[in-house]
Amino acid sequence: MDSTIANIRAEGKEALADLYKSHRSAFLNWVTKFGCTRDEAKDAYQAAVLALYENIVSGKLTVLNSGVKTYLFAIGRNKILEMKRATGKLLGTEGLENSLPDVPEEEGLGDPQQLKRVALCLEKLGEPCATLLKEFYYHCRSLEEIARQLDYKTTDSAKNQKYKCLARLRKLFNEEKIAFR
Amino acid sequence: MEEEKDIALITAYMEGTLSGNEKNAFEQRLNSEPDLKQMLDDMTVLKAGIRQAAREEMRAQLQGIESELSEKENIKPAWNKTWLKVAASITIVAVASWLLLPNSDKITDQLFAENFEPYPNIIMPTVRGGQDTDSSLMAQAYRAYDQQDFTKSIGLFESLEKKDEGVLLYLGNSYLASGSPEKAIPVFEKVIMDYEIFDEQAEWYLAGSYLKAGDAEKAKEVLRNVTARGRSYKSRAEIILKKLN
Repeated sequence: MDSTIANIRAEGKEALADLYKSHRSAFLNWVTKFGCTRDEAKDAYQAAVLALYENIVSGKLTVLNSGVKTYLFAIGRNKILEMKRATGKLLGTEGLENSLPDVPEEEGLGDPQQLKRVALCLEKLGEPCATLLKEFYYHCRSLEEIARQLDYKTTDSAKNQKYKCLARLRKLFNEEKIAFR
Repeated sequence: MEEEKDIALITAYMEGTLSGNEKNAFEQRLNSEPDLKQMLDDMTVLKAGIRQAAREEMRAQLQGIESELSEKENIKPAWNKTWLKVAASITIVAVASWLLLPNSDKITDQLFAENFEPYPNIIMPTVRGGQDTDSSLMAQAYRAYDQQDFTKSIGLFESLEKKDEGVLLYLGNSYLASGSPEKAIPVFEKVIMDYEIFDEQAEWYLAGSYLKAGDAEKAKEVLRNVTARGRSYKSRAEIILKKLN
């Protein structure tokens, strides 16, 4: 397994800062040559780092055939093109197209309004539930790891806690839904 | 609780950990129990929402790292750049002899000694009588340069992670002053090739480096460029060229 992948799988989000710093300057310098603003470039790079992170922790990505840098550049490039397409300003970006491998797009998660409501409910839900659910569903930590991190005696108690948290979150979400009507 | 049991079943279904039989049984229940189906739909949304919330949290973290990094980039170099530009606009034609060299028959050595001295430190001058409170590597490097401790200034300039054209100009000068023109040459070349603001000075000292290295032909070539540039160093360059021919 690629050492970056192994590292991120082992350290989770702790490894994110280093990953971010590793190719940042190179990426920003590269894409700003194609008429991107510095801010657009930063947004794209952040999206790229997150997508790489998500694909690694979820286990979708186990081998980086062309290296971390190429991979980040490819996702970032897609992101830039997407932004440019949305604003109809594709001029000058031709050079971005070539020589990078195809990579999956950033995973879309669904209706933004609805997602936002879940996020609000998650905040209301409080700790330790919020952390537990985020660790499990986003950072893809195993219940065993979560039990260790959040000081549950056994994996099973973390598991039961997870069900309880989900049930409470759903209750909040449905109350919220009614309130919205 | 029934609800939690169903949640357990649903999450197992979503995570794909049910066995074939369990899965079939669950799907049959989904068809006949609208509440269960509703719960599955809710869980799908909740999972996506949790992921989204965590992703935003991570994005905020990256944004935090980014702000720190951009702050470092913006404040320092912006200050430096302005300063460098001001500094570079004052071309100091240092004509006093470099260091007292042992007499040499070589014309290149003589011309070097007569025409060059280390470029004055106009980037971070040492404050006379003031306290040297700035302990940054950069400040230490320029201080060593002012004190003509070139071995030390070379070490310090080389250790700076970010070497802008200002640092390189003085690094090149340090090499030249410590008697290593062959090391100074690539440094001055870099200042000329990769940057804009110290070209004039770097070219002049590149010529000096070739003189010091005893390469009259190369020195002439560079001096002709200096003359063509037609600025502060022009008349000096012409005099040296005449003597070399």
